[in-house]
Amino acid sequence: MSETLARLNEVFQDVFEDEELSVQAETSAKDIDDWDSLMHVNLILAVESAFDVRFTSTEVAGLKDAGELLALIEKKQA
Amino acid sequence: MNPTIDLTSPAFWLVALLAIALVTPITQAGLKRWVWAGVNILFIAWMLRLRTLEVASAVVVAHLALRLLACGSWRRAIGWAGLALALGLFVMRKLPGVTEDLGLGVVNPLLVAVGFSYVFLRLLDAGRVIYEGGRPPPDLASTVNYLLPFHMLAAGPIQSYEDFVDQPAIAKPLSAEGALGGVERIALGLFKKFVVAYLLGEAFLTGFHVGGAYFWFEVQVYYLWFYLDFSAYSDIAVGIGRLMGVHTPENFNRPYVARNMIDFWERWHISLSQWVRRNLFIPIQLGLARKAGGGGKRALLIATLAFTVSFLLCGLWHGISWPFFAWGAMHALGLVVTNTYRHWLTKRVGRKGVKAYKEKTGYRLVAQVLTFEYVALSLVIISYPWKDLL
Amino acid sequence: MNDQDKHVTVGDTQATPGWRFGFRLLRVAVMLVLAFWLSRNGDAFFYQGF
Repeated sequence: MSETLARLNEVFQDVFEDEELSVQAETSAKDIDDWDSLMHVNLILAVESAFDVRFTSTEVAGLKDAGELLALIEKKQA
Repeated sequence: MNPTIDLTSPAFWLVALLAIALVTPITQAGLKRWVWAGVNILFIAWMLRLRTLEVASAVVVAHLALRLLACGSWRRAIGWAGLALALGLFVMRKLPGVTEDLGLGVVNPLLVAVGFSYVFLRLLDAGRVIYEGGRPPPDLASTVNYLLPFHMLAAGPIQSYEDFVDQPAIAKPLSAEGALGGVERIALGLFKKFVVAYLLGEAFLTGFHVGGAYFWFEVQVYYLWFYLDFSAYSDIAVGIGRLMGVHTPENFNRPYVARNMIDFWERWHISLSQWVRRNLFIPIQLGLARKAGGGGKRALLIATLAFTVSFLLCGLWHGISWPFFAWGAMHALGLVVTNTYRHWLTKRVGRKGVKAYKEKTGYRLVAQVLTFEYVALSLVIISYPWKDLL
Repeated sequence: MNDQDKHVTVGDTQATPGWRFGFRLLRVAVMLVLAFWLSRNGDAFFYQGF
């Protein structure tokens, strides 16, 4: 598990208040019951502050799973 | 009188046949882009006659603006100026007479161009995506093809700019099966519109001029009629798109089975609700959340505001008038209630409880009937002969 | 979150037997003839002109 994924996992656990949560690249909104449009924004804000990045609305609208989120974070940090 | 695209006119079908015959066999991407652009321009010229020049100049201006949005230090200013200009033209289009009052009658030929409201939405979508660096700007031919696809001109679907850029430049060759599928889709659309909707309208619709129990009956039939009429146009567009190898998104997915208003908008005029999500809901929600910070209760409040603003604007996009404002408000209210109820229910019975609750047939039927009636009433608002009451 | 991918398709992509293909063609023809016949009274689409 990469360092970024591990950190992302912590953010997910925090936002969804679920210590058992284990996020994989292919984890999507379907896999986490609470991941609706309300939580999506909370998640995005939490990821932004955790990784010190900022997403555009185009990026937020297009996200399909945790893998894409991970790729975006890594791209922005590079 | 605005020119409309008459699907009973031979001109539309001649252009469609020409497009299928010319565009389908091409296997070279650049050539296909230009031939397809040529067909679209020809269609505009045929339908709009002398206004072609104005429309063509506007496309060139839009093309340059989209390119400038991708680079340079001026992109922010160009973005805002472009948005203001597009919005200004849109408001003038929606409020007849304003152009004369302002002494701007020269822009009239442009405003009455077919499908202006839809072109406006596509332009905004492309502008946002390009400005945010999501996709590269289009070349001139692609600008024509994205903004003015002849088969999606009058009533959508509204393809997203990302979907337009990402579609394969050359579609898979058309099999006999695929061709029949496309033709079936077109025939289905024509049948829905000119046979089923027509007969339904002739037999039962009075324009809400009969009161009492009949009024409630007509409300039900009107929703049916509206769906048949509107989805028929999308069927025809999707069918033509399939035959040409031009990706044309689906617009409907059995809206009658929707069990709440969020579900409804995932099934009705899908390309519009997706546009609203990308261009209004998410930017508003993100903007507010960044200012105010996230968190449970606040997230619900922010979503409520975002739904309300998005759907009031969506209503006004259809027409700047009180009935459309009321329609937008009604849909915003329906979405907010659904969202808040869902949130409350999850808090109360947990995720597993919600799942179990959703599986109960009785609840589902009640929810479906309520949603159906709510939508049907919202359509009455925009079509009721209010003037007769004055 | 995103239901855009759930497409409704009329006509699948599986190969179909000849008689079935013929039946579908016939059905298309009937729908088109009826639509053409009644379209002479028909009006424009409600949802355009926006």
